[in-house]
Amino acid sequence: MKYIIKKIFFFILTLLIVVFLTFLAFQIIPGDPAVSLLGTEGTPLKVAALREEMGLNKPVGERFLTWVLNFMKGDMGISYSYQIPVSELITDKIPVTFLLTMLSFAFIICMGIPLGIYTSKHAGSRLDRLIMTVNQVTMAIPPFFLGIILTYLFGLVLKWFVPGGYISYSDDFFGFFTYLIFPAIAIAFPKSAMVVKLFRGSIIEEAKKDYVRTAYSRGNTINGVLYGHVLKNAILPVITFLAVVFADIIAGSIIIEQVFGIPGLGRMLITSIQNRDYPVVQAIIVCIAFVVLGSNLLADILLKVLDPRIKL
Amino acid sequence: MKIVTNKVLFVLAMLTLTIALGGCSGDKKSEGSSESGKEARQESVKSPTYGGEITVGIPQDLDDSLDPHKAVAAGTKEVLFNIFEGLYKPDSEGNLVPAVASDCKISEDGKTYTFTLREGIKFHDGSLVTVDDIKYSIDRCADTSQGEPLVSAFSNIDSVTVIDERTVAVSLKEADPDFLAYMTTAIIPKNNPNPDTNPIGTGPFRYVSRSPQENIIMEKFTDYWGEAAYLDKVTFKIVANADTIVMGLKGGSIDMYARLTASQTAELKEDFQIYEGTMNLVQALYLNHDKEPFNNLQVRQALCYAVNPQEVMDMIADGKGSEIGSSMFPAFQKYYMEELNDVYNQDLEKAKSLLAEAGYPDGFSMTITVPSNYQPHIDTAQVLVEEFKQIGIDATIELVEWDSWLSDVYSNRDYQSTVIGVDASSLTARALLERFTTDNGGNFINYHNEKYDDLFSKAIASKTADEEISYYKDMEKLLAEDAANVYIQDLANLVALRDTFGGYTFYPLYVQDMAKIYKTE
Repeated sequence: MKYIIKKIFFFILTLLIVVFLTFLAFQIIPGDPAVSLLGTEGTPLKVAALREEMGLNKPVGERFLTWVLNFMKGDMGISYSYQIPVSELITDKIPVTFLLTMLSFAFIICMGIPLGIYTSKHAGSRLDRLIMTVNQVTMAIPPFFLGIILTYLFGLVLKWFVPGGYISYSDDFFGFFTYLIFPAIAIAFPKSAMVVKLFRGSIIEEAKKDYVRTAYSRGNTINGVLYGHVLKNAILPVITFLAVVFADIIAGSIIIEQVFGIPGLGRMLITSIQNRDYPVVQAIIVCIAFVVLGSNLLADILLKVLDPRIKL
Repeated sequence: MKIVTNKVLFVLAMLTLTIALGGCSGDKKSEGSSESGKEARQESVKSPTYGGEITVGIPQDLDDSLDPHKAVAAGTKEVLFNIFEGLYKPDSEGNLVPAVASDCKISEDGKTYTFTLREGIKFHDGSLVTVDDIKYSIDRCADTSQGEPLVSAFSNIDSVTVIDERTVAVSLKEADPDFLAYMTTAIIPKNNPNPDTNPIGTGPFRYVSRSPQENIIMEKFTDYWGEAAYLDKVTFKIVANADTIVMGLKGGSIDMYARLTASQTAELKEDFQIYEGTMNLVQALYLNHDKEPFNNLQVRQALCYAVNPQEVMDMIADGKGSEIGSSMFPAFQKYYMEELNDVYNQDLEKAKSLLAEAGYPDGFSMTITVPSNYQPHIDTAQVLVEEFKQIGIDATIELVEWDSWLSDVYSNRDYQSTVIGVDASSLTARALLERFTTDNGGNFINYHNEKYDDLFSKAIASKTADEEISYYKDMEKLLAEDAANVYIQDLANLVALRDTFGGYTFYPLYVQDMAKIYKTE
C-alpha cells in the first residue's frame, strides 16, 4: 500500500514538472499567441489589446498556478485559435490516437512474441537466420519511411486503401478501423523486430540456466520446460521493454499521423505548437505524460505480480 | 510433436500478417467499381448539372475564429467567402456588385452612402436580414474601443443611421471614392450568440460543421437570393502533408486543390484539368530600411539590378507567373503599371558599380529570412542567393517557422531581408500601398518617405476615382524608383480540378468561389 501511495505521489509530481517545463519552453522559443492570431493584420495596438484579453501579460508563475487550479476543477481553458473549449477539442481526437496506439501495440505483441519464441527454439537453423536478418533490417527502418513505402505500395500501386482518405470514426467505424491498419503496421514493424530480438536473446539466455537442466532431468519435454519454466522468466525484460515501447508508439504516432493524414492528438499537438495555442498544448502534453507514466507504473506492478521477489 | 507445435507457431505468426493485409481487401473492390464509373462519366457530354458534392483540399486548418470580422488567416477568409456577403461583393472581374444591398446612392459631396436592403433576403438560419443587422455589422467593425477599428478604413465612418425598414445611410467624415470596396465587409445577424464558432451569413453556402484538423463542411443554401450554387455539398479537407496532395488527388480522396506547384501538376495530366492563374500576391525580397546596408538607396538598387524575375520564374515554376515592378499585381488592372517592370532590368555591371559607389566594392553578407512553410518563397530565395553571388553579395537563407516570422520579422521588424508575398484585403490600391506610409502598423520594411506619405494623404482625400488612381500610380512609381523592395513576381496559381467537374473561376482576391463549380454528368 505504502508502495502505491509513493508511486502515485511521484506520478503527480512528474506530471507537474512536465507541465511547468512546457510553460517554460514557450517562454524561450520565439513567437507569441497574440501575434500569431492576428497574423499580418496585427498592429502593435491590436496585439497589446489581445495579449491583455488572453491574460498573457501576467508572470509565468501566476499563469502556471491558475492553469493547475483550473485543471483540477476540470477546466482546461479555451483554445486560442479555434475558440472552442480544449476539452471538446481533445475528446474528439483521443479515440483516434488511442485506437492507433492500441492497434500498433497489438501488432507488436502478435508479431513479436510468437516470432521470438519460434526463432529461439530454432536458434541457428536456416529459417532462424533468415528471420533474424530480415529482423535486423526491419529494426533499422524509421516508421515514417515505412509509412511512405506502405502508402506507395498498398495505396498507389495495389490500391488497397486511398492515401489520405481518412474516414472519421463517427461516420464509419469500420472504414476508420481499416484506414488505421497500415499506419499501425508502419509503427509496429520496427518495434516488433526489436521485441523479437530481445525475447529471443532472453529465452536463449534463460535456457542456459541450471534450473532448466534440472527441469529436463526430471523428464520434462522441451515444450514443457519452455512454456512451464523458461518463458515466465524470459518475459520479464520484455515487459519492461514493452512499457518503453508503449511510450515510443505515442511518439511514433505523432509522426505517422502526419504521414497518413490522420487527425489525431499528435497532429493536433504539432499545429498547436506552431500556432502557440498554449491551452491545447498543455492539455495534450498532460494526456501523453499521463499515458507514458501510467504504462510504466502498470509495467512495474505487473512485474511484481509475475515475480514477487522483485523489490521496487 | 515438436514439429507440429513449431508449425502452429509459425502459422500463427504469419496469420497476424494475413489478417492485417486481408482487412483491406474490401477497399480494393469498391475502388475498382468507382473507377469504372468514372470512365463512363467521361464519355458523357460536359454540361453543368445541379447537385453532387466535391471535396476540396486545403493546406491549412481553419484554426481561426470563424467570425468574418475577426478571422485573419487568408486560408480562413477564402472559405468564408462562400458563406458571407457584404452589402456589395466582388465579382471575378474585380467589379463590385450589389449583394445584401440591392442598390446604393452616393450623395453629390461623396460623403453619404444610402443603401437599400435587398427585399426578402434571408440569413442561413432562415431569419430575414434587417437594417438593424446592417447597422450592427458596420458599427461592430468601426468600433474603436480596442484602440483601432477592425477594418482600418472604417475610421472614416462618422455615423450609420437607419432611415426606414429598408434603408440605411452611412455618412463619412471625408469623401472616399474607394469606400464601396470596404462595404464588402460581411453582414452578420445581430443576435448570433456564438459568431466565433457558428458562422451565419447570407452567402450561397451555409456552414454545417468543422472538425479541427479534418474538414469544414458547407451545404448549398436553398433560400439564396441570387444565382444558386450548383453543388449540394462542399467539404474542405485539410491536407496537412504536402507530399500527400498528389496521392490524395490521384487516389480520389480530394477532387480539387489550388496553388499547386508546376511539378505537382505535371503528375496530374490524367483525370484532371489544370487551371492557370495568378495568386494575387506581391512577391518580393522585402528589405528592412532601418538595417545596414539597406538604408542605402544605391545598395537597394544594386540588388534590383542583380535580379532577373524571369529567371526566378523559370527556376521555380517552369516560367509561370507574372513579373511585377512595384507593390501592385496585374489583376488590379486600374492601378497596375506594366512599365515599372523595366525600371531595373538585370545588369550585373551596373549593380557592381552601384555597390562600389555605395562603399561596398567587395560586396557584403546578408541574411534572407524565409518562412519554412512556403515552398515557393524558399525556392525564390535560393535563386536570389545565386544571383547575388554574381555581384559579390554573400546571402544566406534562414528558415523560420511561420510564427517566428510573424513575431520577429513582421511585428518586431528584427530582420535584414525576407521573401514573402503580400496580398490585398480589399479591391483597392490602398490595401497594398497604405502599409508603406511611415507610421503604418503594417510597414514592416520601415519605409520612410515624406513624399510617399504626402501622396497617400492626397490619394485618400481625392474626390474622383481618376484623381485617386493617378496618386496611387505615383506612389507605385516612387516605390520602384526608391527600390523600396526587390520586386519579383505575382506567383502562378495552378489549380487542379477533377475532370468530372467544371467552372473554376479566378478572382483578383484570395478567395475560392465554390458556387460556380459544377458537376458534369
